[in-house]
Amino acid sequence: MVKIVDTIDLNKLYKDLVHPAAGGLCLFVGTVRDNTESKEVTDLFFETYDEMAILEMEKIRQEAIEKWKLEKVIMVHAIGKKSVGEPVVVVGVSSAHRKEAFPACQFLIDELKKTVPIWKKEYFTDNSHWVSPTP
Amino acid sequence: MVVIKAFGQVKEQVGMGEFRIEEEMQNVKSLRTYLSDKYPAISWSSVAIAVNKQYAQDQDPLHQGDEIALIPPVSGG
Repeated sequence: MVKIVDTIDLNKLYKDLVHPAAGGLCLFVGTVRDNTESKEVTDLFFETYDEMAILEMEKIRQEAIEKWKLEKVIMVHAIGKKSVGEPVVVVGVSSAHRKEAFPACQFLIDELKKTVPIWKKEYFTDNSHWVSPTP
Repeated sequence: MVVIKAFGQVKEQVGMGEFRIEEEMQNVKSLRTYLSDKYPAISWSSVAIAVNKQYAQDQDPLHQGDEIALIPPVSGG
């Protein structure tokens, strides 16, 4: 399941991942951090090219399913303005054992950051700017 | 005619999220040339172009009614 949502509901996503054949769930939750390069961050704003973001996330999801034996795979990104501590992205997998779950989960978030058309704007106490990806 | 969608930094720089180009464009490269002339302040080398929701290369042809997206460096997550 891949989705763009206004608000992330972690309890619901946990339930979406549970599977009777899975003995392990691995979730990565990305949240709003209160600083970047020693500047105080107040909020983040996320914008997406919805239809293409869904297509790109689905490609990554399929790639993960081909690489590892997984029961369920989810990728969910939030849009709009989010405050410090709020979840903005969740990727997760369920699998029989943890050995598949950890690398698959890391793969999902690493690839999402490379290709999925989503942008974030950082708001500071005095101004704001669009973020360039970490090299 | 092609429809252009702009996002993030590029949307702010062109001043609109969606616009049309009526001129005939042969391929992505000709679109890049057109955009560089019209908006010289944007560093186009870091902007990816998608055609009909797929990342495109310079030699990819453009057709009437294509949906083009101007994609500055992504920063999701």
